[in-house]
Amino acid sequence: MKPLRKGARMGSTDRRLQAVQDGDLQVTPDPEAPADLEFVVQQVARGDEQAFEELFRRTSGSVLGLIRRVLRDPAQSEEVAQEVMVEVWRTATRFDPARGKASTWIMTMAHARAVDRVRSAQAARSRDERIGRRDTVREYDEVAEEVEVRLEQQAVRRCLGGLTDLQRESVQLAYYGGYTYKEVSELLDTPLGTVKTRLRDGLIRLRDCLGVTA
Amino acid sequence: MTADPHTLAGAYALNALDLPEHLEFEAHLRSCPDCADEVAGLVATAAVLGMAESVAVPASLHDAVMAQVRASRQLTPIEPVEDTGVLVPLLRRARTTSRAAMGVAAALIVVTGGLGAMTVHEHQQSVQMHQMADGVSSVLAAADARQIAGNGDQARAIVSASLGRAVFVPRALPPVDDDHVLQLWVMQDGYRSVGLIHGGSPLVADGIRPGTKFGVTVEPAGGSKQPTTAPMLTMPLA
Repeated sequence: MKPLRKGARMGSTDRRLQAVQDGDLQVTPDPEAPADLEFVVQQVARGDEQAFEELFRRTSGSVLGLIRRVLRDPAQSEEVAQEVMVEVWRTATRFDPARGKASTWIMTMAHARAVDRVRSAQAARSRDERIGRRDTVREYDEVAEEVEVRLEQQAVRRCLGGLTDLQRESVQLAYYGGYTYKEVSELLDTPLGTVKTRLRDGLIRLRDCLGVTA
Repeated sequence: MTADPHTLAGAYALNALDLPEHLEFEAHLRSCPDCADEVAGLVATAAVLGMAESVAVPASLHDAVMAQVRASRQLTPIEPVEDTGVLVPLLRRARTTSRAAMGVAAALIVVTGGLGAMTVHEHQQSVQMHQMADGVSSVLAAADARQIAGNGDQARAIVSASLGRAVFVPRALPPVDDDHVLQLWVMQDGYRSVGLIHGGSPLVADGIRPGTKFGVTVEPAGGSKQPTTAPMLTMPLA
């Protein structure tokens, strides 16, 4: 059983686990609780299209949202999001839950593809044009309704706020802007070593603030 | 790697390394359990940033995905290798038996659609992309896979003589202007085009026999049927 993360919000499952730990309650399965995403991926791996619909429902919003933030162009973003979701279907058979969460697997793929597309497009332009600053701030505020998403966003915003300005700037340029650390170094006119350190320290701080366990 | 690899953990987790550095870092992860643990946490953190970006998805995207899913074959599961205790995110490694293959197998994770910058030409079809991914992974998993550096490490090749297949990985090739492109050839009784070199994209070539070489030439944009210039790089493969 996973221990509760410090500061995690108490969902109904967490409350019941806590009650069990306190000796107050017998565990009974909650038919309302959504299945673990890892379990859904297992079903997808068996070719279950209904399971894939559920996986789509729970992850495609983030996949599209992240890709759009990096790529900006809506048509290209949808194209890449489609590639990612289809690749998730095709390679679900190779996902290994022992090595990490399903959401980590999917979002890492989405980010890698978005970054890759941005760099391919930029490689065609001249070097002078290439180091132009891509906007890393959200333009629009299209948000899915669910409470869970809003809480996640608040947590990220709060934890990004806990970074130093320089750490936050480096992380945002790298993650949402899709820049390499070398490009970040040029954009911020900061030595390579400093950028590397900021990215690592910034992520470590975020990890601890968000209570992430791999 | 000249610099301390640990300092790249954050950049790696944010996909802020170029492809050669990314591959190199993943190779390092395989030999450093402590790094792999830290990196797993940082990769998971980056993913949480991503999850928070959720937006409404157009029905047209949903429908397009479902249509393509129904027409797509899922990959066969790979048999898991014995656990060496090193956590390499996030896909199982294919069974490998030779030490050389173990050394390059980390790149498998990058190019088979997990973590890394698998580049695709903008108009390339999904099918071709999947075939390329399978081609690259087959070489990396081959028991006789060997890695070769070319022109002082401007590029690398990974070759499997038993499969007769080689992967070309650009690293530090000289840039060309907008009117030209670098083209990769297989040199064996003449020249056969493998494809155009875009950024750090790996290219896969079959039909590799003893005496075969890779050659890279500068061609007009769009490529040529036969080389129009002498190779600026050649790599003997087998």
